Amino acid sequence: MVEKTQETKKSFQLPELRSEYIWAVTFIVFLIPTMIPLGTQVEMTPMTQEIYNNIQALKPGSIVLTGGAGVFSFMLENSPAFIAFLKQAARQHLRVVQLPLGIENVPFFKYCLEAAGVDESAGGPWKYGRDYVVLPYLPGGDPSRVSFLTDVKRTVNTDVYGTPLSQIQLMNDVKDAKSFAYWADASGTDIPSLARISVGMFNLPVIGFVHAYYYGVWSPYLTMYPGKMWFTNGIIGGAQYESLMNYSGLGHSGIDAYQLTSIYYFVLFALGNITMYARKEWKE
Amino acid sequence: MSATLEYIRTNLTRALIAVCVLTVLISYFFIAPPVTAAFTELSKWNTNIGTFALFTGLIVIVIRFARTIINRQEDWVFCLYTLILIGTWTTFGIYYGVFSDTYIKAYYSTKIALHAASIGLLIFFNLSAIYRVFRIKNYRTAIFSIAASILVAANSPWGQNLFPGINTLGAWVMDNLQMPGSRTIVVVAAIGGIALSIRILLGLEKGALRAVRSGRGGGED
Repeated sequence: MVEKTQETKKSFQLPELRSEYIWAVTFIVFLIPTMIPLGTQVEMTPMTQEIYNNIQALKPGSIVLTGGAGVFSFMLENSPAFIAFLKQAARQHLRVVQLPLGIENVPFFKYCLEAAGVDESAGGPWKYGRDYVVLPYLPGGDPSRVSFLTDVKRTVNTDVYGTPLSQIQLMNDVKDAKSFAYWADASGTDIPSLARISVGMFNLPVIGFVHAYYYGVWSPYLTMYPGKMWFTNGIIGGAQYESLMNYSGLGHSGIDAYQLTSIYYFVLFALGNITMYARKEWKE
Repeated sequence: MSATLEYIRTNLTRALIAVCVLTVLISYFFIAPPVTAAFTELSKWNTNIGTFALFTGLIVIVIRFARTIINRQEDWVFCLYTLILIGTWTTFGIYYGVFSDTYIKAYYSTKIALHAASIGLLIFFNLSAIYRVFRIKNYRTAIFSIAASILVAANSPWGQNLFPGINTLGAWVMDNLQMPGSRTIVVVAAIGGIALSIRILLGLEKGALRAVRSGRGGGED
């Protein structure tokens, strides 16, 4: 009789969700915003606004050093803010020198450049050699960074195409760290080096378009160098920067997906706890 | 190895380390133009060594993997696959140039697409884990789950609209709960780095560059 009661009780227990069901709904949640854009509006944070204002305040012709290390696929989260930054830099008639400190930073920059549509081949205002230059991958880690900021032309001799720097118009105005207004890093993994070397040794302010994960990890550096370092926060930072540039791009697409996923997160969070407590109460 | 060569090898590495480290330290903390010039020169050497190391790495991989393939050792098929990929991409990069449209298109279509897909798969496991792990069984799991939930809501526009102060709360969590932890890790890692540097300088870190004489323990010959 006792065994029969237990068996009956067991059949009433709230079942645990199988992972396959969770994955199926996750897939649908991701699929919806790709078909029906939600047009999510994002709230601005002071940090992103400050970065935008700093770039906006630069005089036309100012040179920004971009680049960094990291893995391309991870950096896709940083790309919305970096693309928006490139658009702003082109609009402000700024000039950019791209220094790849990781091998994947070379194709990453091209990806962002094409997405920003700022090159003259895409109808944009930028001309290679006059407005932007891409340098080849620079190995050697931190000392290479020091060497570059101390003396650019003794560290790097050619651009990514193999053209000597002396033959490139923009590079005539580049000598050392003082030639640049900011270091705009699109990797996020480089922040400690940037803090120590770029800001600490050369007093070159840093803007980081960082992965949401790295925003938390590297945030101590914000208090270490107030007014010298700024970060955007992952996809939402990208969407904020896009809003400031009055367009909707990768950041907004990402945040549409995040919007639904975060709701799904709370549904799963609640379901998990309800299941646990329902089972616990039943046992008690 | 003869005693003389061994003596030179042991002490030369120590001397090199001492010169490099002292040059960096002096140029960082003091105004000493000759030392700064030496430091700048050493930085350039480092870049050259880094470039050279890429070729050394390539040669070492080819030799090692070729040996594995010839001897049909375990996983030799993967070694063959790696060598084919290295050969293809190197030839491709040299022929077209790493910034060319063709190279970049091939790169996007293969490596990046596959890597991005593998990273994208994480969300499926994350959400499944949230259902199973974020269960409030005691105060520790409550803190963990609630802190994570605040950040999820703070980063999502619906959360910001529904709870107007959530953004500020999220920032507070990041700046006051998360940051001390991060800062501790950064500071402790830096102290560990200093301790390790001092040990290397004093010759106590015997594994570093194998800077020990054979028979005195710690290193391999």
